[in-house]
Amino acid sequence: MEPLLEARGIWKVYPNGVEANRGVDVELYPGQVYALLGENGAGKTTLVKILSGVEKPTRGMIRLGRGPAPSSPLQAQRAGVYMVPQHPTLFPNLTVLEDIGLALRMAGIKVSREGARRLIRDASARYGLTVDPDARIEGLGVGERQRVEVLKGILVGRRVLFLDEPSTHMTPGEVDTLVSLARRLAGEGRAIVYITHRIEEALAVADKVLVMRRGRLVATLDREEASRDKVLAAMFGRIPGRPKPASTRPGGEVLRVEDLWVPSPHGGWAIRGVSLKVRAGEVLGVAGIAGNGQRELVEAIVGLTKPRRGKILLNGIDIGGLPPQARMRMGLAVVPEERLGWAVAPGLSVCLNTALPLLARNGSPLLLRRSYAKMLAGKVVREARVKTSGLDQPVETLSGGNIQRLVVGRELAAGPRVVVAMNPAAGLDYNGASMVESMLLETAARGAGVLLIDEDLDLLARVSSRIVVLSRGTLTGEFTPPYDVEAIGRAMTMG
Amino acid sequence: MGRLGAVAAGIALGLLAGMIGLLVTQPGPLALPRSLAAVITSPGLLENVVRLAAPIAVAGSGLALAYRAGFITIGSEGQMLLASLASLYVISYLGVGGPGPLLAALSVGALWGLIPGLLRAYAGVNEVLSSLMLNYIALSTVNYLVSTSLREGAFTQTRFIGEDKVLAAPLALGIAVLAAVGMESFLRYTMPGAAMQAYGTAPRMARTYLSTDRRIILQAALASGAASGLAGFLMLTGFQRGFTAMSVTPGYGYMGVLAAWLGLKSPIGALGAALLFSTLATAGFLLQPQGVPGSMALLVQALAVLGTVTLVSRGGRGWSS
Repeated sequence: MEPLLEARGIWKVYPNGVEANRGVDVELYPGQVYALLGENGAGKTTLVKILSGVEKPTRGMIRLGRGPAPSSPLQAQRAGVYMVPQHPTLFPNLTVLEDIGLALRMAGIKVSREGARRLIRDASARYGLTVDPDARIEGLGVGERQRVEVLKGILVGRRVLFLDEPSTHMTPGEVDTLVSLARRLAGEGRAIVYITHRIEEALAVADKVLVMRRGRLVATLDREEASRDKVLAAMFGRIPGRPKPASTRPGGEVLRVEDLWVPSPHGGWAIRGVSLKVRAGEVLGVAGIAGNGQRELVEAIVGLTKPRRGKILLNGIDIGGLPPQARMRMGLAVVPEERLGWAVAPGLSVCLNTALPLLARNGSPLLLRRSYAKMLAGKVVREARVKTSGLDQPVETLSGGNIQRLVVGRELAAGPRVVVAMNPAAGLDYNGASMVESMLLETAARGAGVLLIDEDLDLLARVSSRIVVLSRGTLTGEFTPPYDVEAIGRAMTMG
Repeated sequence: MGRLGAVAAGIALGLLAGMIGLLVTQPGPLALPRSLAAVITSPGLLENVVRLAAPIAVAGSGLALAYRAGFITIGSEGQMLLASLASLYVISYLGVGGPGPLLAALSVGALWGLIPGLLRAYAGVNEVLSSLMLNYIALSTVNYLVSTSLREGAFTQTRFIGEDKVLAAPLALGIAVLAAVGMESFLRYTMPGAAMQAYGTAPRMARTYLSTDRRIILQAALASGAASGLAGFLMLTGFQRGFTAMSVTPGYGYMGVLAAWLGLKSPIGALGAALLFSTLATAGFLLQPQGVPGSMALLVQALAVLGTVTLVSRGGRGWSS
């Protein structure tokens, strides 16, 4: 059988000198699901970008069936090769129908508006991806946007479909659905490349497991021979340990939310009468499916949106009328869901992105001492083990995992009383996620209260002292350890 | 290609286009480099270059700062006009000297600059539009005052400041350098400056961790307005000296806009760009008697900026992935 896509000796050196791919050979055959595994910064995303025409390799040869390499994403799409990005990149002011319709037409699939609507409806019924074609993208949550992206991928990527960490924004149930979807799509004759660093997911989905480390493809394992330990050994060269769960004895109340009502930007309520308390030394987990008010809850506590009703108290003080930055000065730390643009400012250096939020909390309001900023940033970079070529490096050139380590390290370095973290380990590899987990637990142990809003139920169950469930803007359950994961799952769909 | 390479290429492109334009004229394409050389080697012409460059540089520095904060005002033109008129009033009508005219220019520029900031911060009005409208309002206001209460003598013109009040060229250059260095230091060594830069690339990050939207926008509006005010003062005391009725604005504020972009939104870069622009403009004056239209200098400038901005944006796209 001929491969759908073949690549030989792929090298990629970025202008900043980073060698992201160092001589990768890969062949993709129809009917197969390939799981591409590797730590953050191992070169997975770069490889996939090259294979889907987004980036050009510095050296190397690519063949698409019998044809030459695609020289642009558009050409690749016309040939039926598509990458579903890790973070949805849709046009916020278009409807689902318009966005997908545009993608179809760009990929050379000529359809009318109604034709596109039919395609979307058929595919979403056939593959169980519920989307409303007439919903405006900006009104959708991350999870819903991800579904739109996957649907677009199914329609455009008729031969080779890359899924870049598709489970980042998904609940365990959704991941299972996605895994069977990937297998089914392969069964229909496509090659599926499923990028992840969750080993269980890789083993569940793949016919072949490809492991990358430091820019090289270090192992290609058939499903039968691939085991957790083998994969871990290939990924890291050693098997890392698990973080210890918290043994917390909670202290006084540090954060209290009382009867909070937040309007949704697209009508109705995003948060409907939520009340919760976080005590010092505990991790309060908030479970729920994306798009059920998580983002709005975070924004209200941080101070980016004004609740219509209700109170937010930090250490007993009503902070409802204060701007975000004043809340930070009072001991609030925030690890936002989005890294670039919310957690850090692209274009600014690692140094400024680390030091500025710390200095804004307890430095001079006027002068910025560069040497002091360097010292602060250097400390965070060292302690959070951020891999960087220097503090002056623009922050966006770090890999996603490194940015997240930087953000978590920075926020915890502020010595917070309350930490609000949303999906802090999303998209991180095994080591990175473990590190974020233990950093949050350590902060709780030092006496801060942690509000952890996460879609990863396993993670919540590992670290939370209590778990509440947020569904359609209300709390539909409160759980204490040992956790009944099924009951939590049921609460996630109530409300 | 690096960002500086893009600037060099943009400038080369502008000059080349200017020379091509000269192909059809009597003096031929080499007239451009010849007249540029004449400008740089003549002390008298250099003085003219500096006088012209100072207000453009100062306005451009302030605009560079605002642009770094993502506040894309083009109101420097109107701010300079009103500020210039204010200092004329203080000097020639009130007879106040010392720092008086300078303070008047600074405050008028800052206040006029604050308006688009307030409109954006409190009503969400796009500053490109509001500042452009305010330029027209400033022009009409100046024309009105020139033909009514400030009118002097038989013609529609104001009093002119005396030769003794004209600023020495080295002093004007000194002020421009100080202003550019000051703005650059503000961006590099102050928290509000750093917050502005963060806001320019990631508003959400800045409003979560560093400051508020309103504070950043108002600071940017105020700083660029004050800079344009200072530029207005330099324009009056450097070469303008008084007002006659105008059908269009003189365009030095808009040149500041160009300088800010060619200078890659850096105040020091804007200073460099302003010097280049005024050298070109002066060279343009030299070419006029030879039958070359004066607008040729502006053509070269505009093409240089367009080329640079295009190359930098293209480069940025390549690096961002």
